[in-house]
Amino acid sequence: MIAVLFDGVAFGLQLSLLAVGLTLIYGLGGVLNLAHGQFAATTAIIGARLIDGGLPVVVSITAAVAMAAGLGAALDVTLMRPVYRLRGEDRVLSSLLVTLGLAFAIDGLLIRFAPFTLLNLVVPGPAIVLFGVPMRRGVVVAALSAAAVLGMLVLVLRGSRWGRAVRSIIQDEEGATLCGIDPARMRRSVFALSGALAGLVAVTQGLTAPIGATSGRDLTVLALIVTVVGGLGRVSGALIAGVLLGVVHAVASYAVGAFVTFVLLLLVAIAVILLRPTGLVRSAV
Amino acid sequence: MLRVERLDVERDGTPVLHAVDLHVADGEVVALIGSNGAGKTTLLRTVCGLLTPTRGEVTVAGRSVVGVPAFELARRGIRYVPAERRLFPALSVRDNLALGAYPARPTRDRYEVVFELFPRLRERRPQAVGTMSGGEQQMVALGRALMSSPRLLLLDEPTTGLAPALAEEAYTVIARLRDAGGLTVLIAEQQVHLALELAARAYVLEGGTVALAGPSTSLRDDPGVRRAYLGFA
Amino acid sequence: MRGYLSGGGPLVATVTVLAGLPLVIGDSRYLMTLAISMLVVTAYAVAFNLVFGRSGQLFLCLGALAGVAAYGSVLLADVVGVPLPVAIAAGVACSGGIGAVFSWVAVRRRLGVIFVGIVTLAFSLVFTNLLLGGRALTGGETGLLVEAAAGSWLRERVPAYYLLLAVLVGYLAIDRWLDGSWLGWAFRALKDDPVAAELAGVDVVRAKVIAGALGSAMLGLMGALFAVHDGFISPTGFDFGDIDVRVLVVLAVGGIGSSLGPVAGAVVVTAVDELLRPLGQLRLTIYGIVLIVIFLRFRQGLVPALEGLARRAGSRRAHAHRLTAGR
Repeated sequence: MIAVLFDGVAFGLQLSLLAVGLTLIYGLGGVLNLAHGQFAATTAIIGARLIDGGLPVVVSITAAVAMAAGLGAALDVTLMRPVYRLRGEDRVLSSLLVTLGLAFAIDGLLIRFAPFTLLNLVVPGPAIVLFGVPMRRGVVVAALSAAAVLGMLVLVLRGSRWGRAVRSIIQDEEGATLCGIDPARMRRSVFALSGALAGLVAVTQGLTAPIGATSGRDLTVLALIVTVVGGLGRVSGALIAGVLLGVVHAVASYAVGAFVTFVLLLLVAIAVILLRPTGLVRSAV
Repeated sequence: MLRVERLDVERDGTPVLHAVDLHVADGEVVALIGSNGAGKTTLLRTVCGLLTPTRGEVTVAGRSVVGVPAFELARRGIRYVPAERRLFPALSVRDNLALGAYPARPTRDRYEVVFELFPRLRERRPQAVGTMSGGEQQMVALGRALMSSPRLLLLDEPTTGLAPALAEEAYTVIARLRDAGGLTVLIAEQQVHLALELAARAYVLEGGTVALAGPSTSLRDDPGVRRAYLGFA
Repeated sequence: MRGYLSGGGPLVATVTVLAGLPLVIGDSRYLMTLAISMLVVTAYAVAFNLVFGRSGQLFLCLGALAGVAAYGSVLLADVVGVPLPVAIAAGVACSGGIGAVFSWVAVRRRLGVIFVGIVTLAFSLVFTNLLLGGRALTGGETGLLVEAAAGSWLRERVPAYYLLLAVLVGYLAIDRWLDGSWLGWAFRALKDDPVAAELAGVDVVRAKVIAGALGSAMLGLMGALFAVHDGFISPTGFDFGDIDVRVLVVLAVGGIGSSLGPVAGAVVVTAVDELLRPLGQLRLTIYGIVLIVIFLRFRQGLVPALEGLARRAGSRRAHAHRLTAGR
């Protein structure tokens, strides 16, 4: 049972990482990126191809994650520009449809050109024993990496000028503008960050199990579920919801199997939307 | 410092301001008086860059500011404090003030200036602004604008929702700022008697145009102003 | 939005052409199959147009709604032994009911379009996973052979085509009738200014629930009828990646809001889809790009945008005529 919990937390930390990017984009720009998971899948494919091509593993995944960040920024600067001209519900809807199209486009390309490419990062060495429970090295590295990145993210958001500016825009965009903050530039950097985070999740996933072209859609759905349960635009919500749902996922998988687990997570998302659309977490950011 | 010439501004296709002429000299405190809907907020929002005029010119320190994005103008030293304040409710007083200095790093000196003007904020540094009273929030809003050492301060009805004692306090602070020098202030106000006491000159906006303008002393004696804004029969 | 395609004339003309189609291609099994699937997609698109195009509810579970009725009817008829018409009615009622619930909850809880989209997308995935997981009942991934109506006229291509065409014509008729009724007025008012509409007395709940229920029922009926005709159902036939993608592209191309837009869009998309079949998964990429381009630049859809161009060109020609004639 403890093993299941550890697995759950490890998975949950990655879910948090995945959701934070999505929730920040919504908080800052009022848009939703339905191609988020596809960014992760692209990172996996590119990373795998670079490794196959002979580049050292660390270089390959760094390049792939950097490329994902670039993809994010590119998305903001190109497709999102006309979307930002709209307001409120119109903007949200437009972003949904446009990024959905982008998701399809990327899915098609990945499945067509790299259907069997998988990112599989193996960490050599014996299992690590935690509290009497043996855990695969890959899983431990993935969990620690995710935790480290999340920790850094929280520190940056709370303590740095950039982080404060980001939080301020989420809470009151006009107020932030009046303080001299350029919302468009901040959105761009957050989009790039979101891309990088998606790429990082591809890497952590690659450490636990092979990830390939078809994972894009699943990751997008998972990201959506966690984001919604945590509350759109709430970073702390994404963090908590991620770990929570990760544990739920692990426990349910152990108890009832894969299909039902996925259904369960979806039902949780539906329930939260219907009962508490603002998310389970109460804090503002 | 601030010069507004023949300004026309529309909102959602409806004309709100028409042929407005206004100027504020360096270091002056000028009041903008008028009832709700007269266009005071529209005028201030145009000067700070949140709105774009359909016609006319706005220059600050000799440079035109029409069409320049609001965040850029804020960095140039033009700070607007809206009536709704637009603070960051989940952030602490310290964080709100720090953001006022963006993109520069807030210095101890600037914090001191603000805490000296608003001593009550010093103890409340870590408190989330959303949990504070209206009066305290107004102090934070004003302090935040001051963190960047602005040259032109645009205040939109700073006494809204404040008890009379707090309103007086706010005005005392503005007077101190004026006396310290280096700051030009344009203040839109419904509490006309307060505004006319503080400001040397005032403009009266009615229906989107400047109905009256002049030194506060003469405006105070003007029968129209007395009837409409000072509550005299 | 009352363009060339919305007039009554073109509608009759289109239906006539569609009715005459089997006379031309009736011998080709391949073309008839294609034509039938085109009718099905058109019907789905008309239904989605009602739910999303007119009343602004982003249901991302079209395949699932069709599938609920399809699987429901087939299981009721084959396993429980209910007479087919009753089974289909029950299936359709289920789909319609689910749609009604989504609409009702969304309006009452004031859920924005994001939430409706995510909830319905989640439902779509729940449905697919339930189908895959419940193999004992549903046959899982491999699907089910449909026993009901085996050997009957429904399994023949040409008769089935006419049945589905009749149903589609019914949908188009309902759509046009609704558009002219208080419901159509209500939706236009809601789109224009939701606050003013409510103040003017538009019963938002009723309007949206009717649209949601009706559209979902339409999806269900077509899904069930096609399933019974085809003789085989499987989860991939009601998948988000198959049905919803296609319908979104159809609506993007054909236009949101007009009555015949879905028809035009379906014809184009079905044809293009077939022609591009050798490209395999790349079709998904092309559809994605089409969605991006159209939703970014032509918010009403490609066909209405072309209509607008045609109208402007026509008026320019007429204007030039007038100038030359005046001499």
